Amino acid sequence: MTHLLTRVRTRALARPADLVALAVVAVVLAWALIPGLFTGYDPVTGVPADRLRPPDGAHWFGTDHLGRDLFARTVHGTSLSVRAALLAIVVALVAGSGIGLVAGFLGGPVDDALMRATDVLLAIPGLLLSLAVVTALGFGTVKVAVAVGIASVATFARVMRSQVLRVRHATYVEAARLAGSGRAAVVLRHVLPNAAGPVLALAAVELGAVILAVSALSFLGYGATPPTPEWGSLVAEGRDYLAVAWWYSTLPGLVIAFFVLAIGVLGRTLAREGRTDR
Amino acid sequence: MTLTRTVTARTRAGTAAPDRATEDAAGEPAAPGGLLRVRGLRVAYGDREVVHGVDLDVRPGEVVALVGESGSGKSTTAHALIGLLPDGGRVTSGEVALGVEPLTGLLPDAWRRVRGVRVGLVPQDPGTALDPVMRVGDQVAEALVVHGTPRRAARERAVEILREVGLDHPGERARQYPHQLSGGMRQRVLVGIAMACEPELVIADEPTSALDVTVQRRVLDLLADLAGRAGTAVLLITHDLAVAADRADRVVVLKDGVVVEEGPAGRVLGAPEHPYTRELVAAVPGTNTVPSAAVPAGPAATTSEPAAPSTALNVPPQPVLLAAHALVKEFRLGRRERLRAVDDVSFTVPRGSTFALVGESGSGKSTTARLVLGLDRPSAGVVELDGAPVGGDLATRRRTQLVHQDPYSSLDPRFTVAAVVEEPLRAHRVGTRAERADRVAQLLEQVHLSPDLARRRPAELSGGQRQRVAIARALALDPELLVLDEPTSALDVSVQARVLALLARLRAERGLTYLFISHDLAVVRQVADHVGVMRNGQLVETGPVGSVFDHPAHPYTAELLAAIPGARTRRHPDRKDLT
Amino acid sequence: MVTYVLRRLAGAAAVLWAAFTVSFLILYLLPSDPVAIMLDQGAGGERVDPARAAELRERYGFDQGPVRQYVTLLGRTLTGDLGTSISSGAPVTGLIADAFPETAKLAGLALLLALAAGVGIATLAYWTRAAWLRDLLLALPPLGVAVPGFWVGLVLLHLFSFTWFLFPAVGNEGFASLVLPAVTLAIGLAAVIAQVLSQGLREAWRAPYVETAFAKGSSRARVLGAHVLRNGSLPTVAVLGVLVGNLLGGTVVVETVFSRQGFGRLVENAVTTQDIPVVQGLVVVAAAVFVLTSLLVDLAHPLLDPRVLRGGHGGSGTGGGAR
Repeated sequence: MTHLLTRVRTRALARPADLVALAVVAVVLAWALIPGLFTGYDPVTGVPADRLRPPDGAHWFGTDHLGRDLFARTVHGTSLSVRAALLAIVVALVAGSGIGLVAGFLGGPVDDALMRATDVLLAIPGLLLSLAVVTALGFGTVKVAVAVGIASVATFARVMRSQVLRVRHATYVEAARLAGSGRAAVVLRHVLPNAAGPVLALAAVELGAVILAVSALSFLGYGATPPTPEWGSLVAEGRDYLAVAWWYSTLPGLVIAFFVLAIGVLGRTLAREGRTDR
Repeated sequence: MTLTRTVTARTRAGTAAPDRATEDAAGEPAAPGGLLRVRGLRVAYGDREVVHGVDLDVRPGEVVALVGESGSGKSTTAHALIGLLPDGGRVTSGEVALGVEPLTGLLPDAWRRVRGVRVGLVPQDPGTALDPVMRVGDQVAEALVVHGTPRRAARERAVEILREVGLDHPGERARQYPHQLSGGMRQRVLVGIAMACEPELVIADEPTSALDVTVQRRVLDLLADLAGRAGTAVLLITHDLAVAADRADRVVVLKDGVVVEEGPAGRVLGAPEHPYTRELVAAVPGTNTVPSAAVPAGPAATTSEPAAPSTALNVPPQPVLLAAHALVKEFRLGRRERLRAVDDVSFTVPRGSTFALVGESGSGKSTTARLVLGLDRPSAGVVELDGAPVGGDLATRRRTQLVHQDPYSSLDPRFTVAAVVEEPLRAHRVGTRAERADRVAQLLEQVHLSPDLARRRPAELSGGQRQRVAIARALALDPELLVLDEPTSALDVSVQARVLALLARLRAERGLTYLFISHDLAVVRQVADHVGVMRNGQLVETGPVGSVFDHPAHPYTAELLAAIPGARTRRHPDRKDLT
Repeated sequence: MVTYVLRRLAGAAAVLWAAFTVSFLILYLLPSDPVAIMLDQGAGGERVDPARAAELRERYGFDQGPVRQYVTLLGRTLTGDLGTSISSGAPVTGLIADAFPETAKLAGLALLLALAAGVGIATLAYWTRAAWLRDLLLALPPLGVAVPGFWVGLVLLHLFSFTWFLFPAVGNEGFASLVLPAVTLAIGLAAVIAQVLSQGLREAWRAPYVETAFAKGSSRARVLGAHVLRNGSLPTVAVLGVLVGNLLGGTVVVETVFSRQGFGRLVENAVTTQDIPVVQGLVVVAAAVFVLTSLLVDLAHPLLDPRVLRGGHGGSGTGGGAR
């Protein structure tokens, strides 16, 4: 993996699109970690006299119906949204790769059963599957994240399984068996390291889709409870003021779009590097 | 003459420069009547030039072979001639003319009047060169339709063409899809497409390298026959000197994008002038050994040579190391169907000798090797080492090791060379870490790899270096039997010669026994003491190499032997006039 | 061919049954008390009345063991009865039947728009010889995938309804009300179609049979039309089922943004009120839509790709040959 990262650093990131994307991601991550550094306004309590102000030098994204600075709310909402997305990816990655690894390595009836199960998860549209999980678990950012993660489990399981199969039938694994290596050694030393690259690249690519799904559920009102700021719910709040305050929904939404676009660019670069790595 | 050519001429051995001059002088008068005339062709991918000023002439009706190893630029040259370079490739300078018409700088519409009509192409891989979702007949007809033949007439003509290229039931075949045809049949279809408009020139880019040797021979015969009848000239691109010797009037040898030698096939291959050509010719297996000569090295070889050409194997002094008794391996292909991949195969291999299993793809030779290694369990029969039946346990594994066919996939891309070679030692918990490191260094030295390479990864090595690493790994545990599964078929011919020499030396030094799996009879003749010929899972003939090759008892063996390219120069000088 | 169809039909039925099972596992067996959730909705955090809870448990069969519940529910679902809504008491089948036509119109129009745009972008990108145009066109799909659907809907509303007054902002009245939601829904789908298709076309352009076709003297247009498009569209056709399923999922957001009645709105309401029978019914219906689309795609697949029917004699008249 470090090998992969150095290659990405040294070669691929020479492309301007990658550099811009990296900058966007870095800024957003900084918002998530230290929001206070980027804005002096309070994200929760506003100044009623300043309600629904259009963007200007003082309020970059304008203000909302309670006079709160929208840029501050966007910056402070970043942490929750990004953490939810990462949690969702971790859920999908761990559960999916686990299933894929077991299915691919054991093969036979176990493989058949597990893959049929993931087929079914793919048969239910992702958003509906997440919504069903939310219905059962209840509302809240963490539950939304878990729900979105479960909807992505099947994708990870399939990619992991195909990678494991590819590696397992590679002649170097056969050579390792002939050399006398045991099953555990083969999995740890050959299968996992060689299968991990594409799966992690998928995680990077999927991160964008997961952020969108988490935002969509939060937009629908199943995420954080007000007044806690969160990207999706910010856009939803602005819905009622669409005719009089265009900036209210537009600018936070634009932040989501830029971030997802940047993640997508980086993810695809990583995936490409992973492919040429072999 | 371009600058580079002068430079290359000068960098070659001093004696080579005058040759060049005489060749040029001889070549010039032919040019006016020439069909294809290439001067100073340079091709680059991006900034990297891969063809550095190639000159080439093809006269009407002539067969010219463009010979070179991988990376020599032969395929790039061929594609540049027909204006079909892959993305990023472009002709940077030089002239190409077909008859009197220049081909360099043609616009797309003008190219359309050249391709197919005046120049045909037989591509390399019949597996992918036909559109998988279009009927075979329509694909042949397309070659006529795009040049103005009405569709109905083209369809009828397509069926005729399929008959001419030797397909059975051409009417039905025309309605089939490529996946319903065998590789040889597909290549026949592609030859038919290339010849559909009876062009003046056909460029055949490694047309048979993906095919079995008997199929290869029939396809090349077909191409020669059709081209001969239509008076079509053929530019044959090949890595196989033996094929070139059999089929070409003239041979052009390409190395690193430069023509190093050209001339009549008999002269270039019989008395090569350039050192590189000499090296290539010497590296071709079989060409440098007298046909009936004994195989060098190995104590068993000499003792086995006088043996009668019966199936009875070696007699003492050497005891039998490996014995296979009535091996059967069946695979299920669905509910009722079964495939007998290995069908009642028995043979014995004396200690210290080399036993070769030869056969075409699907003959069961690789499956037999897997049974011997214990990678698969036989459906019936036993494999014995020193008279004791073999199991899948660690002890057997130590005694039997494998060198894979493809050195590109047999090394974990994430391992260093040292880690690859150390893996068997680690798995068997041999020695301390320091001792293992010493042993790895020793092994690398034995396969002639520089210790500097120990920390590299496979991607940074050449094919020959990788195969040496694989051999070092196989030797790590001091095995007695080495199974070599097509160990050189993925390598260039000069690299192949060096790896074969290494294997011969290791066998002599360490008293190894080899089970050598190969489709290449020329290689087998050079390395093996005994040979078994496999077909459809059965061992049709076994015996000492000399007797099997010179007096084949089974008709299939005879067919295989007759199909070996290069036979013309050695045994059948009458097949085609050389001079 | 007959065995192929039968096998696909059996597979479709199995997936549908499994989707029902998965939704049952999620909704009824996750460590949460469905009755408490249901009562919680109306009670607003007050203490749950034990008598009412017991009554609900009995009515919805939660007092039975999970296996009994499952068998009862499955049997009922097989007869077409998806139970009754907890919040409104209406039969779920009726609710879905009422909502579905509106959503079918919306999704159908969106699918048409997305196919036109996606196929158009990808084909034009691999048709043109102008590198700048190809780069421009190929930059569009990643953009389309990255923008959140709900945000696109709001921006379109703001521009076309509140600024230029071209289309109605809400409601189900007439074709005009369909345009903005359909465009919103189509953008993401068009981007995915364009991505998958251009990937397929890129690979098809590089295939050796393209070189064979050029070597015959075929024109670029002919190579694209006869060989590249047909081969390159196979991966897109293969994922069409998933795409249509996702389209249905997308209506949840879009119908909410545009305040339209339909399938998506029904989902949103059911989830908000945690109306478990309705949610399960909707999930099963969505899976059925996926299964049906996939079935149609599978049945059409041999016409596009003869290799699907292994070993058979080419199938019946595809007539797709030279064109």
